Amino acid sequence: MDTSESRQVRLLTSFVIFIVLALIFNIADTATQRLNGGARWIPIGVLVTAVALFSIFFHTVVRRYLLTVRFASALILFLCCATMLGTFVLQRVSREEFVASYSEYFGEHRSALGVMKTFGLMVDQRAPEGMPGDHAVQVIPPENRRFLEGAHVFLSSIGFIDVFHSYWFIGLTFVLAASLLLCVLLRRPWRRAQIGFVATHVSLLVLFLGAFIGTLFGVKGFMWLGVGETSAVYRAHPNQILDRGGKDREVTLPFEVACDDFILEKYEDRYKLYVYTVDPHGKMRKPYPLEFGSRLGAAIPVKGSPYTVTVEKQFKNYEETRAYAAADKNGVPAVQFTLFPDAAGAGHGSQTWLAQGEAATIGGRKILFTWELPPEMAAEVAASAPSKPAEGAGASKDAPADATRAAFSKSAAPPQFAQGIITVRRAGAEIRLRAETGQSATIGTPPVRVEVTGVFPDYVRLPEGKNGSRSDQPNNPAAELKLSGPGAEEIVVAFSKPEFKEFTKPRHFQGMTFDFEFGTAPAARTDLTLVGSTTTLVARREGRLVVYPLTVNGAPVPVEPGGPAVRLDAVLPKATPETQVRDSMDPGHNPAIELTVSGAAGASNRRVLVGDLEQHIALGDDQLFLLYRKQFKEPKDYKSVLRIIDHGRVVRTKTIEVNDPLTYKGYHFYQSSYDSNTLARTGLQIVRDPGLPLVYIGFFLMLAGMIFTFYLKSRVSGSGGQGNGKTPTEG
Amino acid sequence: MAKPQPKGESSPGDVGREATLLNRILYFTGAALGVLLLIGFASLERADYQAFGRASWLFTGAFFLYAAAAVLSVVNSFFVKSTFAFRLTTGLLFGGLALSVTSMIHRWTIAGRPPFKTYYESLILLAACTAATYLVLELATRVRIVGPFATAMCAGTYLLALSKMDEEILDLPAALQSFWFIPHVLLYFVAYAALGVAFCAGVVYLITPGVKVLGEKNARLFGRREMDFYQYTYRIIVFGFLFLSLGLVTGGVWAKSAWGDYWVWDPKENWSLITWLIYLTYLHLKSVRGWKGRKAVVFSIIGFAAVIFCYLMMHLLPTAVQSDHVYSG
Repeated sequence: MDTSESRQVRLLTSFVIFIVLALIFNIADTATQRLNGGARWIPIGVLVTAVALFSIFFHTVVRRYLLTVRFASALILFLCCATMLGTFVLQRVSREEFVASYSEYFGEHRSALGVMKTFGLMVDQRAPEGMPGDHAVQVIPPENRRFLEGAHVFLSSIGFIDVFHSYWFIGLTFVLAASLLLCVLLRRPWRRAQIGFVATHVSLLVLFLGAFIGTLFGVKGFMWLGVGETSAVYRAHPNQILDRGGKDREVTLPFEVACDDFILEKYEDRYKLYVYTVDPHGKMRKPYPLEFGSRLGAAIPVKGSPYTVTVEKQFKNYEETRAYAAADKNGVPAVQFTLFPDAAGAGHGSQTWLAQGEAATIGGRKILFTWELPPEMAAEVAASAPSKPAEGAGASKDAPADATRAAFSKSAAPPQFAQGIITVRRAGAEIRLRAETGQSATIGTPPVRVEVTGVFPDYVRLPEGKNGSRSDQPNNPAAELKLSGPGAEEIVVAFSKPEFKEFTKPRHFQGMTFDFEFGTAPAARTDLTLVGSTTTLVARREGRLVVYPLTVNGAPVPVEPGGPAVRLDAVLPKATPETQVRDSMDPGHNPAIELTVSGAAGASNRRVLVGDLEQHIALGDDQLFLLYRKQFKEPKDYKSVLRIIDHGRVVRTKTIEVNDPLTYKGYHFYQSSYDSNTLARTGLQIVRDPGLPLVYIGFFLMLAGMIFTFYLKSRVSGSGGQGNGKTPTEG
Repeated sequence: MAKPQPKGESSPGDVGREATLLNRILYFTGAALGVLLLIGFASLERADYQAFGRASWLFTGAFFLYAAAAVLSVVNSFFVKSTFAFRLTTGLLFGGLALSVTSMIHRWTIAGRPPFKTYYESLILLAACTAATYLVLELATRVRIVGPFATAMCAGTYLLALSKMDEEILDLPAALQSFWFIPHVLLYFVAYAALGVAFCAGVVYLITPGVKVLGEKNARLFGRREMDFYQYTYRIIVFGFLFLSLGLVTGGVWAKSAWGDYWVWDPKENWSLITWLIYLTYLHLKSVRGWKGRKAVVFSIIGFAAVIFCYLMMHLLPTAVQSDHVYSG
């Protein structure tokens, strides 16, 4: 019985010796700044030789101890633990990525939300398009950074940053292979009942061999190929074992590849009415599309809320024009004006009617129409009417009057465009920032400084934890803000889309809210008030009110340098509205639906939702949100028409697509990516794996062996079941 | 027939004569606790029960059938001993399975693709596979003692699905449009279901070690007249392991045709390898002295924990961001 004890001790010792040996190789390798090419064979060779020599010299030990199933089981579990390690430690990352990823990971998992996530207690709130996730980026405290950097140095020296290509892992697989081989050769007598046993164990050996050959002699690379281009050159990735940490290099294929066409297949665009309901905890549920099919006019109950929605009408291309006609009595004041984007009043302006008290938002700018200037504004105008030269040269520019127009047009510098306005609120205080990198302001007491550190029209969370923009299209506008206050500093991302608002939650500066009104608005946002009785335009610029006189059908009056300019088209003291809605049936431009929402009390609310504007309806009590938008679609498929030219002869043509590569002379060409801007370039992954047939044979042999062992053996070897040497019942 | 045969085959009371009162109590409390734990887990997952209002009747119906089967089988095992009650339980489970399968077919026709893409869809598939595997096993072996656990697992899976419900049906991205999509997913879910049932059988073995699988029918099926639950669990695991291997291999072949590599050390791949290795060790431990019975069953339970982790908790890994196939939604 004590032999069992000492056997375990000895096994453990040899294991420890082996691991220490492998670790020494790893550390030495890291310290000497990488062995290269053939030199890498040395440590691998030493390990293999060590295992082989050990097996030969101590063959009795091998037979008695290492050949036991106990040892094999321990070995498998050891590999299992190594694999786990490779999922807990980020693999093949640089020090910077390591630090960034882990500080974010631990930051996320430390907060209450993080703890809940850790135990899988959180329901993911999936937002419709390009789900932004948790956006508060942790500022890494220096001591954490030091710790993580140290951890990276240590872990990479012992091969934990690249577990699956480390010496000890490779060595471990060698030991396992040796154990398998010896097991097949020595352990059991060859009999028919053992076919399954031999097959499963040999299959793994074959698989290992195939994988080994593939890893050492296989080639992987990538090639960008324009439509109409022919090339034989691709970028080969460095070998993961022999050239660890090496760089891509250009390699020439023994033949040429031509791309004749690239085809991107898309799913049909479908607009859907999305419903957002709120759960009892006040959290928004996952949105879902309300299917109304052709049931126009039927009340559809919204599941999980007391509302019903009736789709009245669908527009392929919604166009709305509203006009006012003069009325003798019972009318309301109305005004028609045109807002030109630039100061000179050139180009295409947008003509708008507004009735008394109505406001329109054009180009990120709010324009209000009122017949009489509200008294408090009038008082403010009176107070700020005399110009204040004391404020300096910069301020004099703001002074109203026709004279300033000359000054405006003189400013030759291109107008600086911001991408909208960010409104920050904190404990009753409010500041507005232009969405422009570098803009900053402080808010509240104790003061918190808010700085715009980035503006992203098409927000994307980059893998390394940074924020970026996927394109210039305003698909998901977001602004990155740095908040710094006493004792804390953090970065938040403010989203323009209403459904993403809830993702902006500062950790330290709780209670601060951010509103990002995105738009290609000119530099300083100006709130404009059109006053009907005096035909003037009152503009708020940097906190002061400025009055511009207007004349009906006069020249456009610029509000500030770079625009916009306003032209008054009509002023009616009494008017009645005439709204014309039409569907131009021109599909795809501006799809919309008209719907009625009825609440619990039966009150109904008739609205039009326009697809491309991403407008949403929020019902009064914020319990239901509706949005009419395009269903998110990934491309259905992408294909390249490839031609292989070998020695001037076209030897193969094939339309490859995802999941269907082209193979020639052992090289496989995979459809991997494409140039999404021009659709004129295809990204091909190129793989050559000489070990693949062995791997597939291994797969097949393994499965066949298992089926035999588990289900056929007893039939072949008779009812004895456990293979105790009975003669087979059939030949 | 020299020895007196236990009633065996058609007797519903597999807890049988061997079981002591203590065992029965343990069994009952264990089963009830299992059900409660599953419900508790699902509610902690913040299953928003109002979501039942948004669920289709197929979903709600299947859930209630599974839940009823779970409750009834617990009650049966302890209080009621009539064959009818057991048949009713089996019938309820069949009903649940039928509704699950119908809802999958329904969704398949709407989506125009197999309903295996999102978490929610896969959970419905898992519940159906678990129910089917358990039913086949029950009909083949007449062993009903695992029933409360297996049915509770189906109901629990549905509760989890409730919290993950996605009514929006998305189309398949290009990478999933492959011949291998259906076989790969199905093989894996049959494997998970079998391993889940084996886990249940293992739990039964741990809390009532004396229980045996008996009967003429099983003598033909397993080549032995009597075996304890450790061996029974082993048989189920062998079946599950075979499917696990098939899933792993089809996954490799698919990855080769889609990404050019049959293995890329992706976290999800790694964890499916880990589960495979754990069960591989379990199978080897059968021929190691001192590793049978309780110890082996505990080991298989660890294996199932790894399955759960691989299936449900990949997003917790720091390496999950590096993965190409952590579940969406």
